[in-house]
Amino acid sequence: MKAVVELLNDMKAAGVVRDYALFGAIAQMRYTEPVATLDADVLVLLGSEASLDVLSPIYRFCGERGYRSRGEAVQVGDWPVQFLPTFSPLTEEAVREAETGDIEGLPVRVVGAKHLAVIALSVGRAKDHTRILALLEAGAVGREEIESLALRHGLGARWQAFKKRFLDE
Amino acid sequence: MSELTAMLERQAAWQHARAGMSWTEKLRLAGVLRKAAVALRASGRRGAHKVAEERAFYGLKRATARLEGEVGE
Repeated sequence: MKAVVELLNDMKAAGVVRDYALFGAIAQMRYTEPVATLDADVLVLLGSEASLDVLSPIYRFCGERGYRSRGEAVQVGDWPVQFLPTFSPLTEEAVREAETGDIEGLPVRVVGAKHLAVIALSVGRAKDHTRILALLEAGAVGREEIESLALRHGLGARWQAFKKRFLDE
Repeated sequence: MSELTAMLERQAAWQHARAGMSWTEKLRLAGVLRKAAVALRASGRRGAHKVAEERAFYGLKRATARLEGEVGE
């Protein structure tokens, strides 16, 4: 994972991305027990001049460092890394308000618990629901924080449905 | 039943303890889990390949037997 962090920080320093933040299972594990995941997901905030093939500068940058793409991901050491451009105001905010964590002594940008939970709510698969429950159980985020952020991003109805299905006694 | 409850409680306590490990350590464990999952998938594929091979073999055997029967007739 150290190689992944070094690559991401270099990518930001070189201006290939305006900012980045780890999210998904890798970010969740800051708060919860380890979970199985096949890849490392990275949200990237790109420049305003982004073209149709928005990820090509990232793939080029990785290629110059000897990291090759395999399917949807770039293989960096042991980890396939999947780059996702921010796809909504919520994910943009998640990157802008990302926290700085520490992996093997290196600083790394990572989506915080509140945004992780609400991004999971917006995606809404079974594993995303599990993520929200895990974050709540770990005490990483409170129901009120999720509700407030969900409302701000038009996800109030989804939150109510989630609460009714999984949290209400 | 109480034994089962105690076992589940012990498991929950163990899981909570794992949540308290450093992020780096959790990622190392996730890496181990990932490798195991990839190996399991690969072995599944090998298994499927073997089944396909066996089907082909027995299919060939049946076809040969049929041909031999036809020739014998």
